[in-house]
Amino acid sequence: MNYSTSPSALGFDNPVFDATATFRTVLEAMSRPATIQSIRHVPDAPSGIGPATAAVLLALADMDTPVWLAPEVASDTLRTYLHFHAGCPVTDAPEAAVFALLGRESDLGVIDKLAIGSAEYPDRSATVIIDCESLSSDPGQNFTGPGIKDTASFDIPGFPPAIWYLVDRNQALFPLGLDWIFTAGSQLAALPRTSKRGS
Amino acid sequence: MSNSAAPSYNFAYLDEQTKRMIRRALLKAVAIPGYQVPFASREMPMPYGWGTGGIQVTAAVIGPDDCLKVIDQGSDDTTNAVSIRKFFAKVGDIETTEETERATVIQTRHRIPETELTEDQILVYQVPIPEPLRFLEPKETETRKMHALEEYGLMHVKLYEDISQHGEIATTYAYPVKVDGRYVMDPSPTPKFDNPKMNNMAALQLFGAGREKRIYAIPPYTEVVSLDFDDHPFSIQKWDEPCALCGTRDSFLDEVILDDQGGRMFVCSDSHHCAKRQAEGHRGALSADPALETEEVAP
Repeated sequence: MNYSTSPSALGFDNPVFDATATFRTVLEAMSRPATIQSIRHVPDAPSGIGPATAAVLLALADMDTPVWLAPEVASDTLRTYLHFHAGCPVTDAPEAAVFALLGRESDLGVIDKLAIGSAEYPDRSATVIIDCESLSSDPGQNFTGPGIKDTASFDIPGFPPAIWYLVDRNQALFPLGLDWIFTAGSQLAALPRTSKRGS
Repeated sequence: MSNSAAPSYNFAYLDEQTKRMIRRALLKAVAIPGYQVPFASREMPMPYGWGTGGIQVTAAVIGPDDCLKVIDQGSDDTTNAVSIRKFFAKVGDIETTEETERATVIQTRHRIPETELTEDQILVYQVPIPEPLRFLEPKETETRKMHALEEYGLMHVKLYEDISQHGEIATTYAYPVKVDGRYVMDPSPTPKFDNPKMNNMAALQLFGAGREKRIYAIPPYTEVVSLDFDDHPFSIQKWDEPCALCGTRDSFLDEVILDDQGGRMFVCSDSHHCAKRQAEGHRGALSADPALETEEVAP
């Protein structure tokens, strides 16, 4: 491994308060699935990933959380950035990942290899972060489930529709399964495994 | 705090790595409503039983823009509530309040405020024993398996034994609930009076058990059902008399012994709710008549 030791992008302006604010945004997104949230204080992000993706990883990843990077996003710049700012190991084994980061052109086949937890420890599952072009709350996919008052509409314009098949299949595994965070720019939305896609 | 050379705590006491660990556990807890996520609970500068779980959850969640309310058995004025408010004022310079409506984070020991909570609030519970099946099955490996298999027959047997012994379900606090039709959960030792408030609550509910090292959650707008039987439906406590200070008939009342002659009064356990009603002009049987108020008598 031959990394440059100094990252090309600075992290959070204020690591303590910005990480707290980012976590609260992710918590809000996970508690109110399919709603689009904005991160107030995004970090300086390396090229190849959006600021919201960088914020989520800096706020939540550390030496205890192996991160798997899809080949499209796994640049040396990003590896250096994560090593320096988060100190998280970057793993080549998707099944070991606590966070898996995919880009808009990534092969979704890896989803099947990620940890979904066990019947006794369903929390030992990966969180998938997908860096998208844009997020939309226009009527697209409709979701119901915990955290959603009636229904919530959410869509990822231009993203391969195969993702919804994977989301459906994942939901059927409940209480096992992955939890999804979709980011675009400084925005994000989440779908915990409980969110059910309707017609 | 004026001496910058003096050692100081990290914001909200916990170090950042601990906060990240708790935050990851909280996100998984929200994603699996009612499931108890193990977490690496830290030693806190107070003994177990004083709300170390709730404090760690609050410390991981709270930010400088938040306003914190802490209640202990409904009251803002008791030792536990006062000391936790002071703790966060000291280690995070957090604004604190007694007003339910103003708070963005409410940490509670064993009550849910009478005022309906909103989408902009987070309710953090202090939990002593998170496992609802623990007194029925002492082994963690067994209870974990029972949750995995959704095997909750034992809990219904326990409630049934209540009925056969007492003629009714005699469990009055820590009354088991089923969350989103899947996990049976201990709502912490809140009176069963508060159980209906958990159902479809607009606010996010987080639970922290420090000694037992568990975190769990109920997302907003989630179905929370108190376990019961068709012929013995769940019901909440009722009182014959209203609050002696504010006259309300729909809040949870504490019995207060007044003397050694059998004198007693019933008064709202939610101190802010009671004070607010009194400020609005509501009066109960034992309220002081403002016209008759005299100078305070020296002890």
